Amino acid sequence: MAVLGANGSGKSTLLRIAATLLAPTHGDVRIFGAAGGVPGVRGRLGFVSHESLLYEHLTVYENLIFFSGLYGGNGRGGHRRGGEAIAGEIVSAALLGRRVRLLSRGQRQVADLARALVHDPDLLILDEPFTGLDLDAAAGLEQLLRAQASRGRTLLFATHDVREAQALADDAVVLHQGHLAEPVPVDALDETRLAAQFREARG
Amino acid sequence: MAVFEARRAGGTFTTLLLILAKDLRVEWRTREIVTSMGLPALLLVIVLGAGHADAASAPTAMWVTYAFSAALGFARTFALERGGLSALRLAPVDGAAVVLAKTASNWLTLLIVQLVSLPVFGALFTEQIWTRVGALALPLLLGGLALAVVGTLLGALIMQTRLREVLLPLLMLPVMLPALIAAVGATTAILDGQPVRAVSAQLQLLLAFDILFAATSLLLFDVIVEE
Repeated sequence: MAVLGANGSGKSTLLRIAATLLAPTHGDVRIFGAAGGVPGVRGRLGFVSHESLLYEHLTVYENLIFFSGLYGGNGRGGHRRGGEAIAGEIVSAALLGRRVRLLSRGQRQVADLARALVHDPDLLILDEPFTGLDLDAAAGLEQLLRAQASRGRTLLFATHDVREAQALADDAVVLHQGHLAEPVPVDALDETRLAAQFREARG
Repeated sequence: MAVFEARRAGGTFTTLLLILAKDLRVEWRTREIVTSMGLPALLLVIVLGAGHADAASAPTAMWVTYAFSAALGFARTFALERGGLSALRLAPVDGAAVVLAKTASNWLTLLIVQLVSLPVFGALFTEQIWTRVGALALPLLLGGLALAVVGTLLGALIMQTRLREVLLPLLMLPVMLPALIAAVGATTAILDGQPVRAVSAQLQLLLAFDILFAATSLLLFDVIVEE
């Protein structure tokens, strides 16, 4: 599912609310049929923010082991196995031993995706995951995300690019002037009309 | 909405150790906090020691040094988290584990500063520091813990502000005043050769201060780190 909207339309805010990082000012959020604050909900969510949530002075491997420990470390090496599994699957061996601050934007994004997957979440939320990536890095990330979706993981991501939405999503919702429209199949999106809508929103 | 989710029983201590180990590893690589605390501490000891340095002025010099270096260093505690705090909040971890790990990490860093500066105090002020080092451990540990608990709590409170390095000393030192007076009193009496039981009132006050602010941190931490 793609969330489309112009810059400043509130896509990031909406996703942060869905990820339980922000409380809604009114209304309530239900995730997997439960309120956002219910214990257990966060264990089923993975979130990739616009900016990296990794520790810059740790290596990618150390970050993955640390975060998988937070999601179920039992002190007997269980978290280490989880971190190693996802590390081997998503991140290349060459990248694992490098400190995050030395990575390119594309490499960081892949490492951040691995961090969001260490606990095998059912729902993966991504805030503009392709922003700032070159064509190769974007294609690599798209491939990784497709692989996650093909395993039955639900992807919810924000973008302002209709082609990105059409490449990856089945359905899309448009956020315009604070209102979220009903979901539509991505093939039914009218790029020209949306571009005009986004221009209008930007003033 | 709870910022940190309660984990299953037994998970808090594991989480605390994970975060503490991560913080110490990051600090080992960056040396941001220990440098921002250690260097001013060393300079302060030398400047204070250049004046009328004797056994009577040693306790005040020690605690002024520790308080200022703590106020300078602890402002960096949450700055080092950067995006990591959001990732911590996303995980189903107990907020108590986060605040306890941050406090422990700050306490350990301050302990390093105390250990490194003690010989300098001994050389510049009074040799009593060498002979009474066992008894001095109590006020140093309890007073250091007070600085770490208050510094971590207030550091979390101001982590989003631009001028946190300036704000932390302004907020922290007035709050710390009762604990600093008790720590200076206990250190003075011990360096005067009095037994530890003679300073039990000051030590009890320090312990009560530590417990009070640790409890406040545990209760308020969730609210403080909410976006």
